[in-house]
Amino acid sequence: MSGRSLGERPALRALLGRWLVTGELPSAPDEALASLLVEVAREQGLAGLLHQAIGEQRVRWPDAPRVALRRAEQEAFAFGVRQLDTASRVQDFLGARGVCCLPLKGAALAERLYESVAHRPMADVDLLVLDEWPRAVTLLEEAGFAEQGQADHARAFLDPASGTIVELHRGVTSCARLFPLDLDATWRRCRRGVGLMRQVPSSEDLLVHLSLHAAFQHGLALRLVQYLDFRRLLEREPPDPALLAQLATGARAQGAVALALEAAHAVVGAPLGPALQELVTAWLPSGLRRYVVSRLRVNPFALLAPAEPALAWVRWQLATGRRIALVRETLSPGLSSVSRPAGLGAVGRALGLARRWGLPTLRSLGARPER
Amino acid sequence: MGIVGPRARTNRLVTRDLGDELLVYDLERHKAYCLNQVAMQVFRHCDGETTIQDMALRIGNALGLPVDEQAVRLGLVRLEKAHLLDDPVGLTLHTSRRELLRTLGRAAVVVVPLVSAITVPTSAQAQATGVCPTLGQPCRSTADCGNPSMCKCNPAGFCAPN
Repeated sequence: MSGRSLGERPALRALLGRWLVTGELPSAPDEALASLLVEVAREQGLAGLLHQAIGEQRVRWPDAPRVALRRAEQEAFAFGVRQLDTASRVQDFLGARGVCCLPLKGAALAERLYESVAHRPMADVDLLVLDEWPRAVTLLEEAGFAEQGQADHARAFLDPASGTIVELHRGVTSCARLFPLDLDATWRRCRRGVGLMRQVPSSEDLLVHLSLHAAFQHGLALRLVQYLDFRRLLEREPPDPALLAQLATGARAQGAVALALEAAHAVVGAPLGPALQELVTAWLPSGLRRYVVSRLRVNPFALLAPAEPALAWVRWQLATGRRIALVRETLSPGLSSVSRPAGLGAVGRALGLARRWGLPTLRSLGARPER
Repeated sequence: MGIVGPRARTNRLVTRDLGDELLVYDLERHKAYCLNQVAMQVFRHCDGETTIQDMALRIGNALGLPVDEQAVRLGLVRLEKAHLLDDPVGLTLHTSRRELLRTLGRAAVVVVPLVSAITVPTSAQAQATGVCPTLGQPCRSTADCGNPSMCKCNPAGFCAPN
């Protein structure tokens, strides 16, 4: 990849972000630029939407990049349907054996907030197990699903039938005990899906899940399409502010919800409305206000993946009032999806995390936001 | 009254209309197809009642082009081969595709029904299609991000395009 194209990528991400806000399609005067724009659109999960918009607005685009967009949409459709079908089969399979689970993130919203699953590509499908975690894992293993990897809050399995990765979650984020979700109530509030997914979480639950994932898990370094999720949810299935407040407070996720909504508003123009704006203002931790002003309001697109997030610092701020619990959960997760050795294991984990997040966080915090 | 025409399958299919083509995913066989405009029209007119002759007429009117019965037959054969029809129509083409193209002449380019298979990537293969599907996910090494030709673990510990 040329240095020129690497340098242009942030600008093209911003161009795509502005398209989502204004509806004004990025022009592509030459094939090289259009091809790079296609590449960035794919990186940001927007190739299908861009292809549709070019067709609808009858914009002149060079042929080769247009064909690449078309192919991307076709593949995303086929891959997406297969992923959701797999998730739906796993949901049915576990449900028939008395284990309830609900889709998270993309799998929970692709069919309800987008015209086509091709417009909401996913790397894998995520299912939140609401009860009997060990049994859910055992059942999948017995059904021939092969484990691919694990984190403290989730385990990834490969479906041998479809070659799709299903991530089985026991929490929405790492350190899941910091955000105690009422899983029984989540199940009671769930609704019937509109496509392949049988049951999906309510708008309010979905917003809390998306916010925790965006703010705590990724430090706001999301793809554009993931920010678009927030806007579409607020536009198409606006959550009840009172219920949202109740859920976020119960899950101690107010800071994450406030930060994620503020970011989604800045990046893709997610409509907050007076009631949500009031919650955001009340909930945003004071330590994060300056961050919001200095980053989100100057150049929100600089946050987009694959940017380096100030993850450790954001988590520290979100854990105001329970930082000892954050440290404890980080070093030795209480709600672990796997058994870990105590003692030296925690020390090793601490060193690994410091190496992984320490320097990038300092670098990210020290960097001046680009305009 | 018996069925006089072919009937399109509706069960266990997911479709997406792109305007000038139709994407179809078969949940039974886990295969995906792209139908061009003519094949899409043939598929849509397979209601179990419309005859091939009527289909040719209606599709011709819809597309604003003369559509030959043989073109409809070719479409049905292709749809059947892709298991997109409810019952076998038992059609045989009296002419080869090459002969059909010759018969249809210059208009053939637009009136030939195409049913093309879409390669459905697996999770692993998806990483080789130009996208880094694990983009933005936390990682410790490039191995955590899947295919190293498309993804790498950046210094911040996130999967990023390579």
